[in-house]
Amino acid sequence: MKRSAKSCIRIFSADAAPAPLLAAPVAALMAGLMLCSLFVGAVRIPPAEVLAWVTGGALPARSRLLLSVLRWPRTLACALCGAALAVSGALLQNALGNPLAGPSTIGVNAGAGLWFVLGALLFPHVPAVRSAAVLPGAMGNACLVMLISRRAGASRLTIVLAGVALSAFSTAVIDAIVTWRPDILVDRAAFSIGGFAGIAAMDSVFFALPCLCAGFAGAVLLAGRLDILRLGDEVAFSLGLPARAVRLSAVLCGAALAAGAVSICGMIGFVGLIVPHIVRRALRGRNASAKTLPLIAVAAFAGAALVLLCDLLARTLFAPYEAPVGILLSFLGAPFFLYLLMSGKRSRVLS
Amino acid sequence: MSGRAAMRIAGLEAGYGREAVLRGVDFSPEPGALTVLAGANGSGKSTLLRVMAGLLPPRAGTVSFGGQALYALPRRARARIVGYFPQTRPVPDMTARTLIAHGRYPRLRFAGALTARDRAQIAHAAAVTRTEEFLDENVIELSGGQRQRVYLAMLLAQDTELLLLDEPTAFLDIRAQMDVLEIVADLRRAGKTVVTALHDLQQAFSFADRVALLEEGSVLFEGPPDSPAAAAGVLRALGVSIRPGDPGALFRYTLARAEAGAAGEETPQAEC
Repeated sequence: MKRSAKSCIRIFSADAAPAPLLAAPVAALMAGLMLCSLFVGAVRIPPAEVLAWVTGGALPARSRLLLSVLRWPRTLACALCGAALAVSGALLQNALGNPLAGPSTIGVNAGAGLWFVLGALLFPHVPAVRSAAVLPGAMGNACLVMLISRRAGASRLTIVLAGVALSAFSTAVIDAIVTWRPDILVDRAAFSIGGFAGIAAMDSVFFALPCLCAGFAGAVLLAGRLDILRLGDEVAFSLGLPARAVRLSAVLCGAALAAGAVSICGMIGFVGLIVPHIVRRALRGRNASAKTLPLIAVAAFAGAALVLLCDLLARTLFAPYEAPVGILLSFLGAPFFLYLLMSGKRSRVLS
Repeated sequence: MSGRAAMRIAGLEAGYGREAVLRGVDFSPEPGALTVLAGANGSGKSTLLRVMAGLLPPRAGTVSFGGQALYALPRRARARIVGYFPQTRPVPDMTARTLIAHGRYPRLRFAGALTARDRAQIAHAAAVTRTEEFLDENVIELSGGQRQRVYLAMLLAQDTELLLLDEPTAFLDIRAQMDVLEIVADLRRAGKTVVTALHDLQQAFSFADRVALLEEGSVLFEGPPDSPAAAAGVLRALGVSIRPGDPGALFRYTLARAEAGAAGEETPQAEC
């Protein structure tokens, strides 16, 4: 028992596995959780029926309806949101050189949420507007945080404090609007905490796809440049890299990814903060330098797996009732993040 | 003077914010030579190197390389001509091999894959800087001197005609300083044009082919280190005198001053 616990911990310590070796099992875990997410729930659908649905075979009408309208959109939404938030966090942390950066800590989620609510208030009958409004909201807050921290001296703490202030302001405006017009959000608590209970059909996923695709594509294109940015602005610039433009582009891509996720599942926290840290630890080792591209790839799978797992737990632990997934993520994420902060030598990334 | 492309700086004025650091600088490092920039703190050595590296656009004057205005060139084209080693550098969490390979960035195609030529240049850089034995070590785990050599290897992998080094021996023990200076001398012998800022006059006058003395943002003297004019320039810029051709005298003077200080005696005259 002791030995197996030790070998589990080894994956987070010095001599870690190179990216492809790590990506494969994490991707398999994500795929397994996606399958579980299809047949596990308040109503259990037998795996044979799920297989029949996937292959286009015959299955009971109720199971087909459940899978097409509820389970598959929700599963896809969980995977996409988890991947988007984790990649967003990885981009923000690498671009800002700040391990405390994440879409929830620098106010990006709250900015997207504010504009989502504004869109719902001004155009209540056009869901596409609120899905599109999240993008300027997220990007606006990201740019504001960069601007404020540049003026006040871009230390790690300044960026996070500016983010905390902007988050608080945005959340206060959301609360004011929703108190005045409670009818504009179906489930106010689920939106603030983050959850997938309201996902029905693929509409919200389709509306978020442009944001998510642009964000993922940008992350892949910028990954190599972000590696060079880690050498500092002066060295990066002397190598011919437009350091500021790359940093801004990466932050905007991170904001686009977070915006897409917020438009689907509300303001989920912690995924973007903790998943890149876990993956970075697993990737880093004496002979495996953690480059941004493998980090992004593995973080996408790991983020998707984490959100799928939490969503599964959220809708099965208290079935037929379900808890917003954001609550579970906070229960898991907050202690883990404290563990990261306090785990001595292994918290090198935070020093 | 050879027919190789050279950097020419004329009437340069540069600074930060409203503060002018360099005023009317005319300077042309000799191609293929090791030129040391010396001067008191705040005399403008680092600022001059930053302008030459393309990091700080001049307010007035011209900076050209091979007849082309340096600041009119695209960034990556500029990075294929001039390599820069800043005074302070982050210690990134990556292997030495990865860091050295980043030196090839200005020459990579869009896809970013290293070619056989890139790999050969990286291997050459590692051999010259004697970093081969710790290529797969994380930079965080290396000593200060080893990190300095890895950054020099990255600069060498960049394969530029002109190398600009800002205090490459800063914060190193004497053995590591000598290692770095030997590599710098090797680069010069390999035909590179090297301009380096050095605080230590003993080192500056021992290693340099030429010395440029800066005082309050202007080049006071530029020429061989063993000339009487160089000694006069040092006296004026730094307030100490050296004998031309005997840079060791400065070291003896420093030692005598330290010993006098320890014994509580009067500081000896700055005449060596």
